[in-house]
Amino acid sequence: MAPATSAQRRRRRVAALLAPGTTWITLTYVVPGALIVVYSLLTPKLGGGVIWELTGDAWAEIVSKGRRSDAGWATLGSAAIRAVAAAALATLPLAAAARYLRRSVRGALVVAAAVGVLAGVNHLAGAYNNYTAVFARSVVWSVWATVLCIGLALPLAVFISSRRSRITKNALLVAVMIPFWTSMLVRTFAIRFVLSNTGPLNNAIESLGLERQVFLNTRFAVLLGLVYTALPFMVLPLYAAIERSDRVQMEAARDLGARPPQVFVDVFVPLIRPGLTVGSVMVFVLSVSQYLVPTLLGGGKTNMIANLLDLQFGEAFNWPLGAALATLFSLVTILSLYFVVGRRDGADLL
Amino acid sequence: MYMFTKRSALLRLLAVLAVGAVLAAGCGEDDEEAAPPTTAAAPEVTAAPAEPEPEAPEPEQPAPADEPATGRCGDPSRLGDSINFLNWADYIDEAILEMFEAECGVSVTLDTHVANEEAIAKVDAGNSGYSLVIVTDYAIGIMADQGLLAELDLSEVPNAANLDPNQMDAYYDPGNVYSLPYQYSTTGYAFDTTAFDTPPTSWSAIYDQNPLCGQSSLLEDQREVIGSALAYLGYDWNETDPAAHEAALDLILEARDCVSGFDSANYIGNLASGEVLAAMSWGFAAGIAYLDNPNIRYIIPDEGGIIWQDGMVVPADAPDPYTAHVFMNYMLEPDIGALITEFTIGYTPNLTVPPLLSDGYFDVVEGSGLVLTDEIRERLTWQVRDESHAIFAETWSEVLSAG
Repeated sequence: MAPATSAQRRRRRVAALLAPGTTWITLTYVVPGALIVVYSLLTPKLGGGVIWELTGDAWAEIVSKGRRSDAGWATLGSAAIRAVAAAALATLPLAAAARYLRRSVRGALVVAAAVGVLAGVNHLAGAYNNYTAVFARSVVWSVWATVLCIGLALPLAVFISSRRSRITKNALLVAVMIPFWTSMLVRTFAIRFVLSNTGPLNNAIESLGLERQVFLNTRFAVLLGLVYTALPFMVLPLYAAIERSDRVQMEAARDLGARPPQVFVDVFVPLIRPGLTVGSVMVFVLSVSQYLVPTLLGGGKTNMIANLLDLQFGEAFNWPLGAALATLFSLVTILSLYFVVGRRDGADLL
Repeated sequence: MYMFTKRSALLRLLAVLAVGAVLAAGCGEDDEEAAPPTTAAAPEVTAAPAEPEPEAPEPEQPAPADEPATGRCGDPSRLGDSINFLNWADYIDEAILEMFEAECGVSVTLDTHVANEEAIAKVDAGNSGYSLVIVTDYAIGIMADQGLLAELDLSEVPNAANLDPNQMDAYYDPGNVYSLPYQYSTTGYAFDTTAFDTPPTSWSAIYDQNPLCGQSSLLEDQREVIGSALAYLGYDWNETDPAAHEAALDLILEARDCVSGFDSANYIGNLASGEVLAAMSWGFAAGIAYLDNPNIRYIIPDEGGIIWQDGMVVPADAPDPYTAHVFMNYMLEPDIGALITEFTIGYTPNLTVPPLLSDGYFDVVEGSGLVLTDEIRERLTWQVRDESHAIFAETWSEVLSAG
C-alpha cells in the first residue's frame, strides 16, 4: 500500500476533528428526535410511558379531535373574509410606503397578499381544533414578540454603537447582559410580583387615584414576558451588525439625495440584515418554545405549545400524543424558519 | 465583497456561539430550578411548623428509655446503614430524619417530588434507588397495577395497628397490600372572610356569578377542576360520560374569565397576602395560609369535595425493603406521627397521634374550618383513576387550549 496521499491525510484529520461533535449531536439530538417520532406511534400507558404497540391514535387525535372540529364552511368563509380584510388593510400603508420609497407597488401588493394569506391560515388553524389553535397562538405571539423586540432593540443597538468611547459601549452591552446573570426563573417571578394585583404597579396606579387593574395572568403579561426574556438576543446581534456596517455607504446615500427613510430602508437595513436575521430567529425560536412565561405570567390560562406538551407528558399520561405534538411542533418551526429565512439568509446563520 | 461576507460570517458565528453559551447557561439554570415554580409554596410551608419545632425533642427523649431499641429500630442485624426516601416536597419535618439516624443509626437521604407523575416516572424507570416512596392514592393504584410496588410485610410494621380503620382498605389498595397511609386531607374552597358579606357554601362562588372576578384561582389539576364542575352540575366527581364532560367544559370555559389562574404552586402565598381572595384549595394548604392570614376559612362546598390520602410504598426494586419497613414503622410512632402532622397540617391516619398534637395545631384546624366532621365526610369523594378516566385529560386539554 502506498503511503496516504496528503488529500487522504487531510480527510482523515477532518473526520477526526468532526467525530466528537457528530457523536454529540447524534446522541443528544438525532437519537432523541427519532425516538420522539417512534413514541408518537405507540400506545399510551397509564402512569406515563408507552406500551410498545403500534397505533396511529395520537396522530388521529390531532387531526380529528378537538372541540372546535365542528368548524365547517362557516369557518372557511370567515377565514376568507379575514384574509381579504387583512390584505386590504395592509395594502394601503404598504403601497404608500412603496411610493414614498420609490419602490414598485407590485412588491407591496405581494407582501399585502402574503399578510392576508397568513391571517386566513391563522384563523383556520385557530378554529380547526385545540391543538392547531395553540400552535397558531404560539406562532403569532412569537412573531409579535420578534417584531416588538426589533422595535425596541434597534434604537438601543444604534445608540450603543454610536457611543464614542469603547468603555461606554462595553458598559452598556454589559448592562444588556446583566439580567442573564440571574436565573430566568427568578426574573420571571420578579415580573410576576410587579404585575400582581397587590404589587408595586397596582400600588402606583392606586396612589394616582385610579382603579386597580388586572395585569397578571393576561395576554399582555405573557407578551411582556416573551419580549423581556428575548430582548438581549436581539440587541446583541443587531449591535454586532451595526458595528460592522459601513457607515460611509449611508453618508453617500444622503449626499446623493436619498431621504432619511430611504437611507434606512435601502441602505441601513440591507447592511444589518445578517444581524436582523440572527436576532429574529433567536427571538422567535426562544419565544415559540417558552414554558415558564405562559405558566407564571399567564396563570395557566394562556398556554403555548410547551404547556400542551407538559400536560401530555405529565398529568395526562399520554406520551404518544405529546410526542406527536412535539414532532409537529419541530416540523412547524423548521419549515417556517426555512421558508422565512432559510432559503435566502440561511448562510447568515452560520 | 466576498472577503467581507466571509469575515462577517466568522464574526457572526462567534456572536452566535457567545450568545448560545449564555443561552445554554440560562437553560441549565432553568433545568435545575424547574421544580421551584411548582414548589414555590415552599417558604410558607417551612414557615408553618415554627411552633411545634421546639417541642420536638421532648417526646423523643423518654422513648428510648421506655422501650428497647429494637422496638423502634427493628432488628439491628438486618438494618441497613442508609436508605433513599422519595417524598413530596415540604411534606416531612426533616428533624425526623435526624432523629431516626440518631436513634437507629440509619441515615435517610430525602429526595422530593412535586407531582405523582414525576414519582411514578422515577420508579418506573427502574433502579431508582428508593426504598420508600410517598405518593397519592390513585398513583398507588397505578403503580401497583404496573407491578412497580413490593407487597408490604405488615409483621415488620407493628405500628400499623395504630392506623384508623376509616383510612385503611381504601379503593386504591384493598387490604393494604402495597401501602400504608401517611397523611390525608381534602380538596375544597378557601376564601378570605373579609371579601364576603355572607360566607359562600357552594361551588357557585366559582361557577355561577363569581363575586371575586380576577381574584380567585383554581388548582392546576385536571381531576379536581373538572371534578368540581361535574359536581356542581350534579354529576359524580369521577363521571366519564362525554355529555357530562361537555357540560363541565362549557361551565369551566365560562368561569375561566373570572378565574385569575390555574395555580397549584403559588396560591397559598397568594391567599395569605391577599393577592387572591378565594381559591380552590387543598385542606392543609388553607391551614398554612391561615397561619399568615387568620381571615382565611376553608369549606367543603355543598356539592362536595375530594378526599385524598398519601401513602407509603416500597418499590418492587427497592434496595433495602427491610430498612424501609422499619422507617415506615418509625413514622407511625405516636410522637413521630405528631411531628409529621404538625408540619403538614394534614389529617393523621394514626389514632395514637391526636392526643399528642399541640394546641397550636388545633387552633389552626379549628380556626380555619378544617375540622373534619362526619357530616363533611359524607360530602367527600375519592378520586378514582384508571384507563376509563382518560377523558379528563382530553377535557383538560381543551380547557388549557382555549385562548
